[in-house]
Amino acid sequence: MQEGLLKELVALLSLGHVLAAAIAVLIGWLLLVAVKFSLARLVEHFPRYRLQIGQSFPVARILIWAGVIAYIVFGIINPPQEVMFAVLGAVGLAVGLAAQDGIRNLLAGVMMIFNPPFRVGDMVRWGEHYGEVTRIDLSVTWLHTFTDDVIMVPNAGILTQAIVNSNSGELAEMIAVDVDLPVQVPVRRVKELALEAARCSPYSYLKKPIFVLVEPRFDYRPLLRFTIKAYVLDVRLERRLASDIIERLFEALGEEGLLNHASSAAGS
Amino acid sequence: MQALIAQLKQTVSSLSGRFSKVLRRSSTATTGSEESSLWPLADALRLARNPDTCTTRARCEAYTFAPLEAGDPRFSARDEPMAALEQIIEVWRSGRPTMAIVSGPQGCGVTSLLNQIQRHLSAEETLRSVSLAGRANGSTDMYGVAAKLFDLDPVPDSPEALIRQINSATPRVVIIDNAHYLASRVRGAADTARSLGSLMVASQQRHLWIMGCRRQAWKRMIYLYQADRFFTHSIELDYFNSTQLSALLAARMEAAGEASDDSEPRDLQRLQQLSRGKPDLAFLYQLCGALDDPETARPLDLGILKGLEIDDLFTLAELAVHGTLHQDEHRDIFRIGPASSKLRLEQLCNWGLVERVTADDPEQRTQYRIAPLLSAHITDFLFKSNYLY
Repeated sequence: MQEGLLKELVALLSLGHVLAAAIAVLIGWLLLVAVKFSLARLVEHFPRYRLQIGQSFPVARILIWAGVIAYIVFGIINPPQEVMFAVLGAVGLAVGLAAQDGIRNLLAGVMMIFNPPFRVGDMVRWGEHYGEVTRIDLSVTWLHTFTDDVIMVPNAGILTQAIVNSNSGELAEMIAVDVDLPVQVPVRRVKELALEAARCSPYSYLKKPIFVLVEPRFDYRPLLRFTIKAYVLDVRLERRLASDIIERLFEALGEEGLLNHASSAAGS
Repeated sequence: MQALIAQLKQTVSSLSGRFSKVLRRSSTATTGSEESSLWPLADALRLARNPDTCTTRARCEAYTFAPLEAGDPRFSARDEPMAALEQIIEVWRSGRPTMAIVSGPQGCGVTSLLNQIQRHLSAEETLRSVSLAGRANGSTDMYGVAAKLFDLDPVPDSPEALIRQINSATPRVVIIDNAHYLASRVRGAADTARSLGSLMVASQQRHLWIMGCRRQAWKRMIYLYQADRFFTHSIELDYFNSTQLSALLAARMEAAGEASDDSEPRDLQRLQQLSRGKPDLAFLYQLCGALDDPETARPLDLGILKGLEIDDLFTLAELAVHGTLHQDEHRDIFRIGPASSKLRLEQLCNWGLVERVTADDPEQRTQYRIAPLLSAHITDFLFKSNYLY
């Protein structure tokens, strides 16, 4: 039985079939390149919708490859049912045993494409890593951090661990800038200056509210933590906005002679 | 197999055909042989500065880009907003507190519309108007402007006294045009805007305040100060659609003493698309004979926008909201040095996207603004690219 199956399989995999399958793969790849190129052009024309457009590529990729595989199997090789099931069973068992993690990542990738916890372009925090999702592959997701590192995260890990999505498909994202000042500072005036610093920055998204929260802290001495919450126009500018707000605030504090109080560090 | 190879050949040949077409197009773009399909920016701007090089002086005067005075017969195609303004005046006459805002994109005719209010007031009613020429330097400046509108000399020394005196003045219609100078990222601008706002709100029972403002600046005032909550009426203008553009052109042709021709709706639509319905650009096309020879009407070549750096685009966005910026203001907004600021603004001028506004007074600093002719195109681009919202 096994020998017959093998013979039948070898007969199916003729040179013509292999060539045709290779051509189908090539066409699939070319199609994918064309889709990628078109989407990039679309993003160029509609940068405001780059996250939505970027999201469609992983779906297109899986559909194209699924189509290519289906065409190769049913259109080119067209094996008899018993051969197909036998091969599927054998290959499934072998691949399943040999590449458990890979398969797990692959399945997680498929699940993520149809039920995405984030999109390409979102800013996410996974464990210690924080960055922009630049690519979602079938088995891994790529993050680009603000320190210009590229981090490869296995998809199975993403589904088993909590992930923080900062903007959830929107270009605007809330940022929080913490500034610790001694308790002696005039709170109302500092709040006004902090609000103005955020409003004056060209990177802040004024359509959404800006507010300042104050809470007491103790770090060797009593402090007040001013948390400035503002939205950035584009997730990629979040560091620019945070730095800009701090610069403006400290300059204003200096101009008003409040910097003597504010010798403590500011962080975001 | 044969069928598959044939299919493959066909696909490859079609793809290579398309690819070579794209290559051809890009190479012609770089060599400049695409001259026939796009209107070079420099040519359009040069013509806008001296339109009499392509037509007669009389035609240029008839098709002036400047705002129209009250009763000018060329004022047309604004029946709806005019009726809304009349209604606002009626509401004020009935004794209800009234404050109105007229907003619209740059160059859509807000000033021309506000100028027409005079025609709808009786001889006994007083109209005072001011067109802000720059950003006020704090609340005191703004109180000075308000005091002037009510002939108060000297300016009362406290806001309370100013409000008291304004409320005892003869009821009047007060127009503040170019209110985009109130919406600013510059430090201290919020206080200035609020000080004027408080005067308006406190005296709206007696006086009719009408403010004219560019759309982007008005939007920013809404986001920053929730300004829309304080205005009882809002009139939003837009650029002209093809029907309105037809009426607008007919009025200008009449003023130029030309026989009004019956242009094809298709041609008008094309003109509307090319100019985005912005009157000055539509007039420029018309002066060049776009309606007589629609084939010669080419879209503006704004390819330069796609190559701009993020900082240039942010500068354009702030110019779109602020109207004009001094170099100091630009430096303050972007926190850069004078040399960098000058470099950025001057380079934008060289590309034709921004222009210098030099005041007659040599003591006054040079201001920069988006080239008025291009404002609709640039604003659209900035909006699509998420620099304006």
